[in-house]
Amino acid sequence: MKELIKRLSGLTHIAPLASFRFIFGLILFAGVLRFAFKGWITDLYVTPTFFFTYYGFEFIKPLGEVSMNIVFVIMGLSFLLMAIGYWYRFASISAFITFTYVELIDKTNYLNHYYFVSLVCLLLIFLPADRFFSLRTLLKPEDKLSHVPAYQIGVLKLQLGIVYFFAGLAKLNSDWILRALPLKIWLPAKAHIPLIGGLLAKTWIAYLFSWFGAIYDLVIPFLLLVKKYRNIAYLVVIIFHLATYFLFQIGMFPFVMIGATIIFFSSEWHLKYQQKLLNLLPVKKQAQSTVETNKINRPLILVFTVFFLFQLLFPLRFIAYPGKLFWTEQGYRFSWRVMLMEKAGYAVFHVTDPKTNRSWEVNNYDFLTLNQEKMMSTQTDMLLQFAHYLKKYYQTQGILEPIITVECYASLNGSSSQLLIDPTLDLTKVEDTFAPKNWILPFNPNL
Amino acid sequence: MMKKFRIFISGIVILTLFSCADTDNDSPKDNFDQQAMLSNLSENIFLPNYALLESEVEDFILRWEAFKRIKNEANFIQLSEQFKEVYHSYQKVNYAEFGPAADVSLRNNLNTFPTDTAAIINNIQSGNLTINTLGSFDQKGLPAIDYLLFSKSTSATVNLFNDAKYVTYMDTLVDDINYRVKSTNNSWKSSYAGTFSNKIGSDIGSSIGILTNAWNQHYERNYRDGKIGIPLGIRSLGLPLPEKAEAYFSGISTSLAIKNLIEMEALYLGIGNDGINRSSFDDYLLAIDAQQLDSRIKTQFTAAEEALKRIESGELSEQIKNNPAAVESAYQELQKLILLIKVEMPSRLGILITYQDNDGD
Repeated sequence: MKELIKRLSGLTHIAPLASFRFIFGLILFAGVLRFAFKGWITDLYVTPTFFFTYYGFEFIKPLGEVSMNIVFVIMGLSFLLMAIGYWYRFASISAFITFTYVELIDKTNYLNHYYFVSLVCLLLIFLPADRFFSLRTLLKPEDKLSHVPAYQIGVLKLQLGIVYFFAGLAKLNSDWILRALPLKIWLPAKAHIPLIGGLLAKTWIAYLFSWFGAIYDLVIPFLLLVKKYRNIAYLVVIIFHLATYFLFQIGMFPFVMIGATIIFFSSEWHLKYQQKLLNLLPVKKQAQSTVETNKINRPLILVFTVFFLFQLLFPLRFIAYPGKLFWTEQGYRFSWRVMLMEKAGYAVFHVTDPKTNRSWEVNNYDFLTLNQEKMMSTQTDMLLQFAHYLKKYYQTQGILEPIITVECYASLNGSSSQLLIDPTLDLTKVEDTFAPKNWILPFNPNL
Repeated sequence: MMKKFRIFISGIVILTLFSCADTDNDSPKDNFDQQAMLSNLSENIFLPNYALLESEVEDFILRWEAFKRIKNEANFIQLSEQFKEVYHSYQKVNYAEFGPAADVSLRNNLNTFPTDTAAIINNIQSGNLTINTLGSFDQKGLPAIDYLLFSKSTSATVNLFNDAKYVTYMDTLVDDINYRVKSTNNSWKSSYAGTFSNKIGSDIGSSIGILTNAWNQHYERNYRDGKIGIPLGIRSLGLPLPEKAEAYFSGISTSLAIKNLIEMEALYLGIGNDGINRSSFDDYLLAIDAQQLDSRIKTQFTAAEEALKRIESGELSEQIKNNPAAVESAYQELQKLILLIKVEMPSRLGILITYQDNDGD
């Protein structure tokens, strides 16, 4: 243990951490701009009348249109400040708070890479990433720090390693490995792409991509750690993520990963490119500042330990639930399950007023956006949340004890659609908990 | 370490070969030609359908002019019969509210129902002819004409048009329909047909994506709900609202619904106006080995048509009052089709129904 702490606290050059801060901030700044220019602030956080909150975070609500835009302005500026390394402590805290707040508003918009961004922002709050290659040290060279304890860079590598490794583990399932699903469905849809399109329609290509994807995720963090393979591994990182960018609609994620993995390169590598960038700036060459180092920060090491223990255990919680994970999705989120399944569903909510014995159906589109409805139709906790919302809605309409059931059909990895949950169950009588949802019907793969 | 790396690489190669050998059952299957499908849809379905709608509207205008010259019952019958033709031919294009049709809001302007009869009478009496505002969709289009032509007895209606105010309002309605239909048809002919055929792919901006989304939205909201569900009472806490049916006054609601379903089936199968079955969604599904889904869709189209035909005798509003179980059963058959065309088909074809980022979970 002592040996470990000693190794983790051994000094290493700060340059990779500074580059990471710079690249990460820039990419996320671009991400915020992209989000705003696509009109998503309004579409996702102003237009909807109902939001699917997270368990335990029901108090998180969107603000009005103006305030939501202000939140995004602050978020964008925070990432920009983070990138240039100025007012960094404020920037990293406000980036974490604004970004995490926005992501917690509606689980419809849950993306694994948003979760990753939140986690990295949280880590960055505790790291002195602005003490080198930053506006702060340009203006105030005496703040420059040349070395940090190894764990301060190691935590970012570990975070990336966890993302990749768990994503790889998640791919080790029979659908992915033995049936090349869902890639066997997704790739032929791209058969119109010039040159490679014809190949994408081939079954063996789906198998190749599936196997390669799983192996890539499992081994890439280790290859990046080894100097000998680092260059070739990084080339594979770029090719892999660009391929996913061109084939699938996954937004900024490929660039976040391509940018973030540079943390694995050596400090010499980073110093070289940082110097090239600095040469572009009209600033005088500065004398190297005195070497100052961080002392071992035991409380911080403890915080990081708890943080990573949580991350190692939380993705495994699915083991505690019965049934097929992809079907029930109990323990699915926050577990690095990326691009794992093709799932679609259709939910018809039936409402009965016991007083009049009259029944009718709910037009989901009266309450939900297209994307909310789509996401809800395959995720049981969201179906339940919407039923509870409907109960409140009909109570305001004078129906005090509505009985609400849902007829929800879903299709998983190209299966015929089948009932997802018990269609006779009155959802107003059910509460969402972490306990297994025994009202989810079993998946029949042979249908 | 290098040795391990070699083993790793050769492992991948072996696994690849293994997976080829094991699963190469996709015998020489031609890639599906999306462009051929899109060209077929545009040349043999959309272009002729819009042209047909335009010519039916022109015919209607001729009969309207004839009726204006000689306001007798014979001319009126001709006019009202042609109105039904127009309404039926609109069922051939209403599911395609994108591109040129969306540019002129064809659906809202041509077929917002139920129509606001009080507002229409008010417009007529006050001489208000500004029906181009967002708030006036329910005072214009086919439903407004349906009201003007069919809400009273033939003789009373003929008599009604001796009032110049009625004629003026009708002129305004007809002009507006004519302008929008012509504009849509012209845009399709002059440029959009080419644009449509060339935007291959399955993403949100692709023609297949745009068409599938528009078709599904139409099917769910304007077809299942608008034509059957809402009059049946699904949106009104179970209270039937038969007066909200499409073409309520002429009573051709069910006929329009059947026509529309047949046209959407023709779209799915790729059957052109010449009756020839060419490339479309069914062939696309077959090309990716989804025969089972294809046959379920075809079966369900048939089941839904049969259920609708069981309520074809008599007006929909009467059927809802007197035979609600049969209407309910037709509604359920329509409901089953949604699952297939909105969920399973796009899922198998990789068609995106959302513009947002997605990591596939």
